[in-house]
Amino acid sequence: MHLPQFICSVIRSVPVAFAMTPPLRVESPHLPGSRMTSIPLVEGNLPIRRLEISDHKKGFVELLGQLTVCPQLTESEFQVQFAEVAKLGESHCICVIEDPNTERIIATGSVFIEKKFIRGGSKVGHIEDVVVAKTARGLCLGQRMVKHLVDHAKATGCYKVVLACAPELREFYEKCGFEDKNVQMSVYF
Amino acid sequence: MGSETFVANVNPKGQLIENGTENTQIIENEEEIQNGVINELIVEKSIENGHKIENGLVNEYDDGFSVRCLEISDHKKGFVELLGQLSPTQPLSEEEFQERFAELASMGPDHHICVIEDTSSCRIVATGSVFVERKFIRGCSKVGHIEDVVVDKGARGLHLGHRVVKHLVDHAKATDCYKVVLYCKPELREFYQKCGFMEKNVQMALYF
Repeated sequence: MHLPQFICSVIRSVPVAFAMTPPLRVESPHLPGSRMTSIPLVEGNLPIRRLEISDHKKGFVELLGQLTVCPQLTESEFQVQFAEVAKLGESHCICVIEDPNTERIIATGSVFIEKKFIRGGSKVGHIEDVVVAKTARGLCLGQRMVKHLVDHAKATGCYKVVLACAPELREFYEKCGFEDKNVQMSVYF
Repeated sequence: MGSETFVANVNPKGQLIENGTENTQIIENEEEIQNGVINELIVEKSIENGHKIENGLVNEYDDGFSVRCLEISDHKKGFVELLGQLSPTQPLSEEEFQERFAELASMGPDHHICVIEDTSSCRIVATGSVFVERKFIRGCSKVGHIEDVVVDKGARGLHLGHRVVKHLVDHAKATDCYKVVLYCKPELREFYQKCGFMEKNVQMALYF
């Protein structure tokens, strides 16, 4: 049975005790938007904003833990790094999406603006640390976050945006407008 | 891990004229550095692992192709033209170059550009840069990003590329990065593997 979209939203907001069916949400792996692009959802309109000091209490660090190794930080440690990043102003932009019901951060991403001498003194945006909470996948939040970061890079005068990703995420970023370019290499200390 | 931040006075070439802590002044925040003040360079020295900086020369080699920091005068030594061998690069006026130089210098050790000069021709024959990105992951870590490594076509085969990359990696390590990353064409995989890198992910790009 195909339920109209507004009923899906109502079902989702009904208290658990009265819910008759689970929320109608298409679960897809870490490829938000791949099956949902034609269905506007309430969550699709959640604002994207800059990271704030108070996000330490809203699970920002825990969310990063879904991306990679991320030990908990004390408030003081968080504030120190926050201040360091803030010094760069628009050249280092970390954004988040907050779930207003739980007051938890459910998506984040960052873009760093690198100044160069090439191309007549150009700038390049580097997107890093994009992650959407496992419980919030399939809602286009990842695509929206990436678009937001790309728009920021463009607004600050970058001529391109680059990022590194695991091969299985190629398709997701191609949907965001990216193309396969080169390889990333790394050395760990 | 201890570190000491001090202002080192430099001559107009950007070479250190005083090293050490005697005649230095501790600068608490970078706002004290005025835009366009190109005669002062903030140098952060890691007490444990710091690379030694004397007279602007960072890594000296007996063959004369030593690695040093980019200087203002490198504009006249073909620095921008060398970058043109890497990517389309229109000429920069001296003023444009100085402006960008000052912007990057104000980032201190977080953005480091090195060069190798052929002292017989007074031309820059190799360059590379590394910028340090601060993250919240891994307990507030730093990552070094190597960019714009290029060796002049006429100076290939002298291992200058390896010297530049090693210098940049050492700089990232000295500034407490936990890793260094870079993007390269697939045909350069082997070169960077010889520099100690391993292939990690794919790079994707979006051009405006």
